[in-house]
Amino acid sequence: MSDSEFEYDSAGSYVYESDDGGSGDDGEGPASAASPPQRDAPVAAALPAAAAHAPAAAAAQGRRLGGPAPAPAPPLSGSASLGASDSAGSASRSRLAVVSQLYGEQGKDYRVFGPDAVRAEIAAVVRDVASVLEVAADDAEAMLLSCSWDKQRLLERFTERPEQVRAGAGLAKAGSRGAGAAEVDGPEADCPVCFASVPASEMASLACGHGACRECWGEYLSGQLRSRAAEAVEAVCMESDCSCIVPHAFVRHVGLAAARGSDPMALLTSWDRSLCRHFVEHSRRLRWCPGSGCDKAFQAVSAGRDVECESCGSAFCLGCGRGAHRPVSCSMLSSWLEKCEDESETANWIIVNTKRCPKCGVRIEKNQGCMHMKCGVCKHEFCWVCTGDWAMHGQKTGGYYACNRYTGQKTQGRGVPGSRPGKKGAGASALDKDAEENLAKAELDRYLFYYQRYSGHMRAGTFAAGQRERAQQRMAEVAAEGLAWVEVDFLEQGTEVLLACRRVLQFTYVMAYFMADGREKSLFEHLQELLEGSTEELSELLERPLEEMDRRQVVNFTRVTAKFLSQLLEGVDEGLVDGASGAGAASSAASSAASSAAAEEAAAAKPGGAKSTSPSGKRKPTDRARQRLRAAR
Amino acid sequence: MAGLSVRIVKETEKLHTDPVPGITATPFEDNLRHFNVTIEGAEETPYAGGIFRLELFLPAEYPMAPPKVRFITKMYHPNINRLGLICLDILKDKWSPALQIRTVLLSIQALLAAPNPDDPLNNEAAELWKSDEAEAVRIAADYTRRFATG
Ligand SMILES: [Zn+2]
Ligand SMILES: [Zn+2]
Ligand SMILES: [Zn+2]
Ligand SMILES: [Zn+2]
Ligand SMILES: [Zn+2]
Ligand SMILES: [Zn+2]
Repeated sequence: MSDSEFEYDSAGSYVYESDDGGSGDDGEGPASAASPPQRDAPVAAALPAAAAHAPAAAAAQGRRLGGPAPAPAPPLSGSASLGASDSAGSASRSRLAVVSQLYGEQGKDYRVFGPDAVRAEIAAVVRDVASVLEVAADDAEAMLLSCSWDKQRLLERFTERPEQVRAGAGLAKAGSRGAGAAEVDGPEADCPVCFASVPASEMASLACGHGACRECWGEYLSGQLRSRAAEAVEAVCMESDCSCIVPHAFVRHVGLAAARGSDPMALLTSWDRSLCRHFVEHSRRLRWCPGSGCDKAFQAVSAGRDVECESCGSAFCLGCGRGAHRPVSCSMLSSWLEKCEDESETANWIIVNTKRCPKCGVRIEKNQGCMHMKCGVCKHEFCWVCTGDWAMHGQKTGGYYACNRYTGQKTQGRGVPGSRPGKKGAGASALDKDAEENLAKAELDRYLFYYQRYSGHMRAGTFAAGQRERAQQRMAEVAAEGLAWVEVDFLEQGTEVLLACRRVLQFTYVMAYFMADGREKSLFEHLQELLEGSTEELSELLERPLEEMDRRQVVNFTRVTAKFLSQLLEGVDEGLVDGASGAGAASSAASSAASSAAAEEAAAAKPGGAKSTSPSGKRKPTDRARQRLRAAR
Repeated sequence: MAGLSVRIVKETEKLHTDPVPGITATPFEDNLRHFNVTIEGAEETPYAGGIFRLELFLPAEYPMAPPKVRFITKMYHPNINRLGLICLDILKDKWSPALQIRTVLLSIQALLAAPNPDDPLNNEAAELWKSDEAEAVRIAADYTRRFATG
């Protein structure tokens, strides 16, 4: 066992692939590398590992020592997913290369900010603008607020017409008095807001000179923070029709009075929080992680793309903030969602959400991840997607699924890709009411075809997420028993790939819906079909009870499916068919060559496939552990 | 809720000792934040001759938050709906703590004299105001006679 086996954690390569002896060699390799620490003394148990594999293990341990005693997660597993509190952020997650690739962890072209980093970023840009324009920091901040923190645009506009920029930001003319203590004649003054008579020193005003007592200002600003959140930092003077902005320093000035004995920094602290929100929410290319309660901000350096938050695990698109949606673009997804919204009104909706058993006719709602359905009444086995007999779908028929292609007919099969009834001669028969209706019907059918598959994968993905949670639960249980954690690690790896595939497959149907017929689409559908077939196999394998699970098989299928996934994504990224670019054509040829190689491998990994042998029994969990596992499910 | 603020006491006093012409505002005895208000319709408007009743309530956050005001008398006006709710910027986002009960009521009085059909709360009235102002004015005057007199 070498140190390099730990490297995959950061480099994102696949653990079983780094096992030179092959996955059949179960006695050595990953199993021993991953011997979990004992429950009683998680930290102490981790120490020998840390000594042996200094860099990676030490880093993992350092993170874990921060929180309360965590579940005894081994160095290679996702400690966050096991429930170890990891408020400090980045959990070390074990990753298959393809999943890392999916979220672009390699060659990162985005940045992640914690709350402190956001504050530092704000301070830096404010300082920068203040020094270039030779204005006070608060003035620079106000002007940045008024132009979405776009430094470049601010500098340009300021050079052209400084007074206009200042006015737009709610700043008084250069050289006016600053905000702070108000100018008052005599020892006392009447506050125009609370009507109380207060000592002159209590009166405060902005640059405009409109005064009020500090207590009123504090109350006003707290109210703005409560009701306007991020926008509170754009608060202006209390006077009616006065647009003078409240500068940062003024908040500090009135904050003490507002606190009335409680935390004197409270107002300033929540003001700073709002400022951070404003910065992230108004800056181009910056957005919050959508994970609930997550405080990480992401900045895309280039265009929008899918990322996964290391802190909370949310997978989302940097471009639009919606859930991860590769391979479709943000705008294509918008069109699709709009379409879905329109169509959801139609009565045909129900047929998407439920299906009749093709044999006995009972309505069945899909609630599992796998497309392989079994009728609870007549036990008929069929395919959710095409309602065809399941027997026609397997290895026996000598092929993969042909359920991803829309053929425009009720009977599915390997039809001519994309042939659509009613499309030809649409113009000529436009006057014919019947033909028009048929056309509309055909278009609805076409939409429903893609929608059905889109939603099928979406629901299956939800189910897979549950599977992953259960796999993590099992891992925790096994580790708690002091058993080799790697026994069930393959489950997490498998469900993670499954989850990624479900999500990508879901959106491949959006992509296919909008793709014009032709060579590109048929190549795309070919890759989609390979991925879908393999995904369904993996899904079915993972739904089996742990005792019946063949680890080798799952591991192999995980790898094969992952390969199909990266082929599809690479194919889309590099262009499936690119007449203009020789490189594109070459790469798509290469990827289809690679996909046939992967297909062969998949065939070999199949249940009953040539290379598939039963796993070595010696590494199976003990009976006691198995009982625990059963209870955990 | 804390006792009445200095500000509310002073505003109430001033409304009593130095009333705005054509406007009365008196707090109810059981709740000094709740005011019974009347506004006289201005001359040369369809509301002339009418006395319109409103209620005004000062929320706990007042003056940081605007008062809540509603017509009780039935009205025909593009910026006042069937429930008597009023579309007026200073009662919403343009509220400023420097404004007072008296300024609010003055603004409402001004709104009666100058309807703004481009920012409607009563769409039907607003449409008619734009398409056939004479007819709209006739209906408004009819409402005034039926509901705001006697
Ligand atoms: Zn002012
Ligand atoms: Zn005051
Ligand atoms: Zn997050
Ligand atoms: Zn997007
Ligand atoms: Zn059945
Ligand atoms: Zn099928």
